[in-house]
Amino acid sequence: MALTGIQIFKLTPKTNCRDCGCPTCMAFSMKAAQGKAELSGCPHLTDEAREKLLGASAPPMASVKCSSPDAELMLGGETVLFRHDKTFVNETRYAVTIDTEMSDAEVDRILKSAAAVDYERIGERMYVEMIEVRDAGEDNLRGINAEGSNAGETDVPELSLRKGENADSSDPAILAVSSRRDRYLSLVRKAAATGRVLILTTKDPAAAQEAAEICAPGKPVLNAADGENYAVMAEIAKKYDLTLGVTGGNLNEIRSAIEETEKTGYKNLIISVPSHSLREAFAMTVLIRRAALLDGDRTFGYPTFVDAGALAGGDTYLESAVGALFTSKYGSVIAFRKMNYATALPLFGLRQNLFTDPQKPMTVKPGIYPLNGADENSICVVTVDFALTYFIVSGEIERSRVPCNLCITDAAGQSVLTAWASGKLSADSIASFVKNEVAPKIKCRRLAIPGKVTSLKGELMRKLPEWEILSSSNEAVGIVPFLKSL
Amino acid sequence: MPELKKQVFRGAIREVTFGPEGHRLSFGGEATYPFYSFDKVEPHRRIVGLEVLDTDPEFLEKCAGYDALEYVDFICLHLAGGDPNNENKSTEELLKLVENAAGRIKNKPIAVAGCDNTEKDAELLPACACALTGYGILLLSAKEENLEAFKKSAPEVILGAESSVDINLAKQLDVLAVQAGIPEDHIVINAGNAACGYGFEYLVSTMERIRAAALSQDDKMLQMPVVTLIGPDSWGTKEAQAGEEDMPGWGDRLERGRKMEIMSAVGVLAAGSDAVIVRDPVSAAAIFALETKLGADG
Repeated sequence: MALTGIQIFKLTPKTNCRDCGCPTCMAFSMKAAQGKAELSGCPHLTDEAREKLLGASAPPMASVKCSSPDAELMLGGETVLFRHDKTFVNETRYAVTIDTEMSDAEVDRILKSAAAVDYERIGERMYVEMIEVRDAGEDNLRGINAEGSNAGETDVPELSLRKGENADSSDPAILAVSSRRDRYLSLVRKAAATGRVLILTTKDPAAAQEAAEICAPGKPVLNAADGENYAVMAEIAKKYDLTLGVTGGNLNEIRSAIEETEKTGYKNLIISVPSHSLREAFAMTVLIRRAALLDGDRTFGYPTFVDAGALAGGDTYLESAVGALFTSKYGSVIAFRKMNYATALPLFGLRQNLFTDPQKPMTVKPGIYPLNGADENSICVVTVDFALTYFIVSGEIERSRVPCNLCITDAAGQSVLTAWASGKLSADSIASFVKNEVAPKIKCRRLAIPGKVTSLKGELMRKLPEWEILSSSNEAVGIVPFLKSL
Repeated sequence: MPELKKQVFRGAIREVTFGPEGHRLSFGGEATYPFYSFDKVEPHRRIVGLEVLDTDPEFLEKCAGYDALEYVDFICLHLAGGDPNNENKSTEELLKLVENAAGRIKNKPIAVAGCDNTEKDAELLPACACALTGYGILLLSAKEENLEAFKKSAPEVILGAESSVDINLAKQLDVLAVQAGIPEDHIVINAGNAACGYGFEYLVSTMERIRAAALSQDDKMLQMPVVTLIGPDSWGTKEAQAGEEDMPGWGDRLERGRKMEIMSAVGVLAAGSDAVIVRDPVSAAAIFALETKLGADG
């Protein structure tokens, strides 16, 4: 929450010493409130006052970094609840979940399907950025079995525990734990080999520590600490500089787990939303974000992790619905059980749309886009670089199956008529684009222009005398009959 | 849940009711952002309609089949074939089809969507309203250019008011409709349609701004419920259209189309749409399941 000038003034020495360069402390405070003066400009602020002021001017929601050796992801850092207020900051990230109950074949199939999703859309690489490796045998973090934990595990929180180090290796409970830990770590190795950023979901501190070693120098998310194990988990997170997931069965438990964890001095956190009920998970995710951004509630000022797969209970269509819901409303990381192209195409499209700058149209790169196997002898069709226009026009051209060179000119991301009205799409702009970019690469000398700017035809014929200028349809739906009639 | 601050608004969305006697369906009426029942209980679930195209060879069979699906709230007869650029079916032919369909739909309210040709819809849709007197249909949609033609259909029907994706145009059309004598609780907003990845952000932001104005500024002319037709845009995308032979890595085409439709529907529901109309029963079932889980404690 930003402070007002008066609030800042109350914390200054009020001596009007002018050491900051301002005539009075009040003037300095007003400047500082507007962001025109740095607090460090005043050499006489007490440490206490400085901390108070810095705290108040810090962003309402922390930005958290996690990584693999290949990639780095930023989470959180949001400042508004609605995209029409201001651009959202860090895109929602998607994970696919593998767990210790799955067979090797199933794990391989899931990883392969997720890895296959890798494509470009309007200049952005679309791929499944994260893999959640989940210890399914653990006392369940997602609230399905939130109360209490299995007997065997709570006895082995010592970080030093390694397979074989324990005195009595014939104890069946210890054996079971260590074999499950081996299974978990083998999945971590497999997942780490993909180069994606990992989410290590386990309550076994020894497994967590070894998994962190496997991931190094990558910094995965360690998920999750609760009111009982936060101390040991925070210690591991601190040691390896990991993002620590913090959870609880409800908002009160989550709040106290965060507060306790913060007291250990570690604040690199993400809130892991429990999955016992969709209604509760949605309420918590919204309330956490709203408390942070609207009410300045710092304890909740962290990104959130939502398990769409668990919330959907295995139905891939419901999982898609849940994934879209939390992409719209405040999930920072969302985990899926099934991630294939059918899920990814609309999901990444939705995310890309929601995270664009509301004041800046989405654009495609100007240039020549050969469609339907077009070559240098195929007709040229020119239009603007507004992404939506590009998608609609290229879609219709593909439907016609007529080979075309779609030529995208720089029109400042405006639609055809808007660009024409603002002068961004003119006979001059088209002619110079065609002369400089198109003519050297394409032999065909037929050029179709949008029907809505047919009025440019005459001037274009004069400016591009070697070219035959055609006027296409007014609406995109007319492109197919137009191309087929040529 | 601890007592975090609740968001309480001055304004509320109007409740609108349609459908025949015995199968009346109400929606809207909420005073919160979508699904924020933790702020205040929402009086109605957001409703899900299933679209049937007149150009579908199984048109009548689907009407009867969809009538029995419990996860579907209403059926939307979409008369796309009336478009002069499509099959250009005559109004008489379509009226006959609509009457036949209504005979097969015994348990659910009916919506009728036009062919999106302003002149044709001005003739076709009021004629449908007339033919289905007593059914209390939802009629989609009047535009500013043809609003005049819909005057005589009110107050028998619930009328969609469709504008370009823009909050000011949406409000302007509502004002014009009210000035034309259509009762305020017989108007629903159709703020436009889009699919994920295709200008969807404009639709989302427009809906969110409409909802914010309706709730926090108590803007009476934006308090109508919002209805969104999802099917045509979603199933028209390349993601849903491309054949498996053209895009071998993309996998099953039906699954692609359904997920495009589901995510587009959920995206607009989360932005403030009170009703969505989808084309595939699997999509309707998924949205119904989502809403059920969001409404229930389990």
